[in-house]
Amino acid sequence: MNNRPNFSRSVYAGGAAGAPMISIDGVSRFYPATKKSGGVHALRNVDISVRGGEIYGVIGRSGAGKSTLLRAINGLERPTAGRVCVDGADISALRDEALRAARRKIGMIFQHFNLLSSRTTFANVALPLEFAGLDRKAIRARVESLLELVGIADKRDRYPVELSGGQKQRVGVARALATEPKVLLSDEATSALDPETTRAILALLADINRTLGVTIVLITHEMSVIKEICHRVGVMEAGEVIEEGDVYDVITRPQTQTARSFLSALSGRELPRWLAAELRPDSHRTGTAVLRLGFTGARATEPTIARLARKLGADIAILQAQVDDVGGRPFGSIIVTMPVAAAFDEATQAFLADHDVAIERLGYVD
Amino acid sequence: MSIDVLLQLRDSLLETLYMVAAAWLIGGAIGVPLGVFLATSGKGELFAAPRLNALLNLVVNATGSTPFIILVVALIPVTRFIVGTSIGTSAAIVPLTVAGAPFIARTVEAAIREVDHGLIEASAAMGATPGQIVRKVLLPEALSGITLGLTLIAVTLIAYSAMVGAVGGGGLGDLGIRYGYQRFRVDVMALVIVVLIALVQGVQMAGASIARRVNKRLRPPSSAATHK
Repeated sequence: MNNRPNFSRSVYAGGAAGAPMISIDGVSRFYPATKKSGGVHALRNVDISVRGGEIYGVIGRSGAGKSTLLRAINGLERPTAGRVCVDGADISALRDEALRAARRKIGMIFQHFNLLSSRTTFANVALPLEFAGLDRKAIRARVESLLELVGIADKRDRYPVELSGGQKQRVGVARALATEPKVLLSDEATSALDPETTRAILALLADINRTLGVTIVLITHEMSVIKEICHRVGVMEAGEVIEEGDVYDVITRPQTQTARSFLSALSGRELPRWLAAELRPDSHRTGTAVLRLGFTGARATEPTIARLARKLGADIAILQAQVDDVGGRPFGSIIVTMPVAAAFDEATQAFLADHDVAIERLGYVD
Repeated sequence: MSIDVLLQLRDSLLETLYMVAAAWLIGGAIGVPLGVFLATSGKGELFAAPRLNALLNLVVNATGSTPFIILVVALIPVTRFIVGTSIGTSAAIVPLTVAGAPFIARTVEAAIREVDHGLIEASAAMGATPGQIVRKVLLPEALSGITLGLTLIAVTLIAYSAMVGAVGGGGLGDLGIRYGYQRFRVDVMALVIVVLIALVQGVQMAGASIARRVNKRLRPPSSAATHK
């Protein structure tokens, strides 16, 4: 497992500047009421624009609508309002053969792989090419180069039952790339995999994005996936995109409670247990305030805390500190305690704002 | 036991094989496509046609719930129309087929409904036509279940064929009734039972073996230990 590529994300390969590869304009999806349940707005007026060559992540809890959103991109779901365009084609207006032709240019991978148990690795990857009507010779050449690309050429004649989860997902990726799509949709593709395999598959996706210039839209409920390979991220809740931006910005300066709660699940972001147990909520502003200070960019390495303590003469205790790496850029995160009076002091606020420090009030302790 | 009886037994066995094989093949030719349609024509499915689906369901249920011996008698006019006579081994194929086809359709339907819906979705996402999804995904994935179903039907048809003596269909069952029961030939009865059991056992084993071979969901024993 030493094939981790470096995730340099500055290169947005391919894709014309200007026109987005995928544009989702005011898309809503309403499921009418049934006998069992009332109507559901799975998507409410969603606007997303994905640039060519980008890896765009959508994060949300189950039921947030991210799966419906992903399926609207290849027309498996039909929006009740709005428009979805992929590479200039209005997916929401296409029917039958035109839709099928468009779908061949959009690959998809799945949480549970969805491989045919009756077909070998080779035959599974060949399936979309058979659908497209290619002859045997062309299929053979294409499939063998794909198996090389995803690193499972040695499993060519194995059936899915003989493969591990990671190997199955590699077959899934090869199959999704068979028809040389411009867009790859990933439906929780790593959620059924262990952490190590997850990293390997994400590395494969990043590699494909970089070398083939394939635009990737992935949905996940894990911020670690977003942090690992995405360029931009949209946070979904109750059918709406409630926050969107560059991954670095969203991770370092989350704007919504939902984004913050996903961040708290990132390794190293959760509060120490002894602290979490003692923490009181915002309504009791007494004693000592507990803050999380976020340091971004060049300032991440400056001695800001020491200067703050000197300037304010405040007692600042550091409970936890770390410098993280988001897409190759440093991001420092420090949990500190200081007297409530100092925490709410205007001079403190001004000093921190001046130094580009993001403040998150976690609570209060005695 | 005389040579006559053994010759009778051989003829009866051939009649049974003929009736069952013909009914099984014709029933399969009708039942397999019917089962595929039943499994894919519900509301929101590949070939959505809910009304036709409901109608066919009704027909299948009606034939399935009619006792076979009633079906044999009730179908006499139909048999006469198709075969030209309502008596004899060939005539018996008609009720056997009519009883078998819906049964086959149900087992095929059940096998296809067992296929993971994710595979249909993945195929649609790859740009497959509904026909391609049936041919390249649903049928191959359901093959093991379909094989077991067809085996079960073959066994059922062997059992049913014992009743067509009522319309002069002949076969092993008829031999057992005429010699073993009506003429008190316990030895003939025993022989008929042994042959029937051997026949059913053979069909069952062959079917199960084929079903196992086409089922790739089972890990082959040789590689179970080496591939994690």
